[in-house]
Amino acid sequence: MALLEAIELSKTFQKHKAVDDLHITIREGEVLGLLGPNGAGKSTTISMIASLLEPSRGEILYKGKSVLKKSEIIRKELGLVPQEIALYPEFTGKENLMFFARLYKVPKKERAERIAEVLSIVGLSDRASDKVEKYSGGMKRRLNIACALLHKPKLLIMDEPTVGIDPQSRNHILEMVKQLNTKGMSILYTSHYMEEVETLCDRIAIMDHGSIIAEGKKQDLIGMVQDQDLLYVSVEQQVAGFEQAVKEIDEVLFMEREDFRYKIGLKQQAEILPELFTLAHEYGIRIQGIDIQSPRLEDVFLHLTGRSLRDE
Amino acid sequence: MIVTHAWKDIKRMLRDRKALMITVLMPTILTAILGLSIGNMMNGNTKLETIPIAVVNQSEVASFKNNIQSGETSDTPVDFAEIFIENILASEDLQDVISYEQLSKERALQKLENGKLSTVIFFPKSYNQEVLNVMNQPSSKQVEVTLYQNPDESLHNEVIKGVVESYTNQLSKSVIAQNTMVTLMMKEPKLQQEITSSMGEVIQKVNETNRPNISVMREPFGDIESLSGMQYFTAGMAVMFMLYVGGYSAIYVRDEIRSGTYNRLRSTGMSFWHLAGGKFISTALLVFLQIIFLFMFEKLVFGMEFTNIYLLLLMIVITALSVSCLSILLTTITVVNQETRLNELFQSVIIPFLAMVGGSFISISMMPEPIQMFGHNVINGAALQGFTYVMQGYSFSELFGPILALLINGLIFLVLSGLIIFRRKEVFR
Repeated sequence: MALLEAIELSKTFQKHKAVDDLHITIREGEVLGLLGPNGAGKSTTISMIASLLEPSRGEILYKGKSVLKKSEIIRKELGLVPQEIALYPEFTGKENLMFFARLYKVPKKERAERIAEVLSIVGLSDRASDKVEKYSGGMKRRLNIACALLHKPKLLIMDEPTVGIDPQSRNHILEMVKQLNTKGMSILYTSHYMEEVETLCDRIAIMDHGSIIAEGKKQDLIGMVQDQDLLYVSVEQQVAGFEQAVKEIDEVLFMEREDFRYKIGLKQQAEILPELFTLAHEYGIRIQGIDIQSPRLEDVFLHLTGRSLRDE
Repeated sequence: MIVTHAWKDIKRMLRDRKALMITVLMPTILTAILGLSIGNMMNGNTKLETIPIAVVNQSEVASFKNNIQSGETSDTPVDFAEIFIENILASEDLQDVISYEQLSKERALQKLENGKLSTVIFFPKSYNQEVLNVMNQPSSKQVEVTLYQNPDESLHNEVIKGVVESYTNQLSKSVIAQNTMVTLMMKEPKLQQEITSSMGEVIQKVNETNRPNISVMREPFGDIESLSGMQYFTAGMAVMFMLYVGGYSAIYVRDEIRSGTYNRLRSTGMSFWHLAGGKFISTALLVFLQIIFLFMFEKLVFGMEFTNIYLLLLMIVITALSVSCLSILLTTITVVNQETRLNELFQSVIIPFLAMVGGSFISISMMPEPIQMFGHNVINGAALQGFTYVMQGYSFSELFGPILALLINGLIFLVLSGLIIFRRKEVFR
């Protein structure tokens, strides 16, 4: 059942169309991943869903009711984790939580208990009395999430919640998201990190130039590029002309270079290794390693947009 | 929700060391430095223009009986007040310093009340006769020249008092010389020649003798008192640095916008009215506490007088509310134009400018007329006028002008905010 549905959503800033005729559905109890490069329109979409920004056109329905007509229906059930550390650094963790608990109108007698609960969820109980300015980046991110959980939201929107933090804190946050989802919370999760989305999300929507260009379960999306195999070739040195020669092989769909490693897209089950070794010999290149992989989500993104997500 | 926002802003300010340095420490230090170093020089007018005064000469010409040399009595008319006017006030030396006019008492006092004059010198009807009486009988009752003075012009007042005192001293010495010579001649009429030649002794006696009963009496105009430098600068610094509190209110909103906290706040259901209401309350309270602290500090450390604590509190409350309205305007502009550099401009340019024209550093009366008009009516200038009036002992009814100016300032800030909100509704939905 759809918890939230955005229909033909558009937003134009002066002459720039940031979101164009977007349709997206968040189902109850699912984690929906929203992938897209910078400028794809993710943040604008999130702002419209959170009723912070008025769409130029379209409709947003929350539990079947129009959010545009009455934003209160979503605000009290929505938790927003912004990409920025949206906290007061001069306050302690507990003071920040107390402030937001008041704003979310958590009943006075439940506040202390609820604050202790979210501190426990994010693993900051023992640092609750420290000022946020003394927290590490990872701790600030976790408190950033905690503030959005105080009122037990039904829908949690997380905008790049793991940007710029250490692997340990990232794992903690990913684990936390899984647990929240297990308890029935619906989550809209945006990230640059493909592996996070692959791990967490039930469904994934890929966004580019203001529109959803693909949407579905991970396997469905990967199925879009299933007719490809990927060959990774590590070499000792680069020699001019080798890359062009490989690209001219009929079975090669594309070829990219990362330092001394080539990523080669092949037609499914193509057999090019003998030809590759021959060319390497001709150009005096010594091949150090070869790896054949199945397509991943990143390859889907590359296939759909012609760009790598990380390069944006 | 408004109280929650207000409390949050108060806590932020109280924990912001830089803000506290600017809003509390700096005015305290500056007040002490300026108040102690410049002192009384600043509470009046220091301009080098001529000092406007009026002379009310009601004294009647008296007759001086001259019988010393010839033995015959002859009446010589004397008018000491007129001598003062013609020989002193009209002298070339004083023409560049003092401009005087002779007026009736009513007219002179009216002009003094309107601030057109610095001092009114009043010679009573019996002045000349009383001076003569003192000459003849040193024990006669004291002769008084009355000075009605504008309390806002105390430096000028000192100058005029000095001139009048100088004249009366001179007159006193003449009286003493007269009395001494007459006394000696009455004792030894045969030695008249020697006495005349013994002027050196007479003069020495004059210098050794206490002043007779001719004195200058300063008459405060109504019940108004002059300000001390400490009082003036306490008020001056308070009204300047209260503007920083209003500015910080908007700076905090700008920080909230930049950090994404503002959007998070909005996602909780907060409207702009909650935010603005919080700003209003927090700014009013912080300005109130700031000014109270400053006044209390100067009172406890330097013994500064409040004169009327209730009127002072009233002025502080109205001033604080007016600054709150200013903080709402600044907040509104910041929310509409999130990249604005208004806050930096406000702190680095607008506040020092307002402080200058509002009289925080130098008396407004030193400035050209149009700037005076602006300075008296702008928020900090009106507040300064109100505070100085209170400390000078003005009554509640006389505070009406500054209070009205402060209320109008606040109203203008709110109306401007309203217009901005009306024009950019989409930002505030």
